[in-house]
Amino acid sequence: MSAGELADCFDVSKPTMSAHFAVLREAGLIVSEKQGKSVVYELQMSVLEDALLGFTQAFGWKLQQSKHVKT
Amino acid sequence: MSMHTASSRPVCSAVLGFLGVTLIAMAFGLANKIGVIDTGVAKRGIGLVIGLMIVVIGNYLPKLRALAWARTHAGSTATERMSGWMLVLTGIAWIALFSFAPLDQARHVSAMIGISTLTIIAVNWAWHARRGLLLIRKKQEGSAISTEQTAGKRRIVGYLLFAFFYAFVTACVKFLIDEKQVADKLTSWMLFAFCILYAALFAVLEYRHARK
Repeated sequence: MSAGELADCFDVSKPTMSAHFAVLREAGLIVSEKQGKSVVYELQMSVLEDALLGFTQAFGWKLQQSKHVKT
Repeated sequence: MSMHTASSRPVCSAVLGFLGVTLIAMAFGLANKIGVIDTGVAKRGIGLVIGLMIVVIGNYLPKLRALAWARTHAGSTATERMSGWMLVLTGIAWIALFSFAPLDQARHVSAMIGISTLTIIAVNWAWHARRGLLLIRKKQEGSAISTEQTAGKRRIVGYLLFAFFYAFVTACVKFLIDEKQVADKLTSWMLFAFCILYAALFAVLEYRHARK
């Protein structure tokens, strides 16, 4: 997901989100990559975790969508 | 969960996995030398264990972020993930071959699969590294994010991947060449070359660390 899409899901400012992303990236939990003008964030998974996710998704399981907490 | 623990865990797991599997491979060789198991069983065992080693390193490769310094452009994450998948599939193929195929066939086919995989990964990484270096020279954003922790982690990842590369290439050469004397001579030259390259890698990484 791009930084903008993720920021829309939370009721916090974009600089705060950016700081949180930096912590998660430094901890090795997510990876970020510039794609054109936007920054895309992904979960950092091992091949086995990636395969298990693909396997479960093939059987209809989906990652739960975050609820909008904006009021 | 502290940041240090979370980011170091994949590196620790990969290093421990690599060392554990190497010890098992050495145990097979030793058991063969003292006559506990015959040569055929030892060769099959070593092939299986090296297959396991390839799976372990391939599994953790996307988390090791070996190309993190070149992440200034899109595609380095995809490259690491693709390399990880290729290694895991190669490792599974090795395990299957050494489990079920006749030993001679298993040795040759696994070596050819291994060399093909390594060639594709090396070409892909070299292309990304070149692009990363060009972008770093242009001083684009994002390349110089390097704390003390990540710099230390990157050094360990460098040594680990180098040792893995040596073990993998040596196994491929040993399996591909049937004549024992030729294979032994070649691998001893390879050991010599790898020692020199390892010393160069050590010097570069330690120099860069000392400068920081």
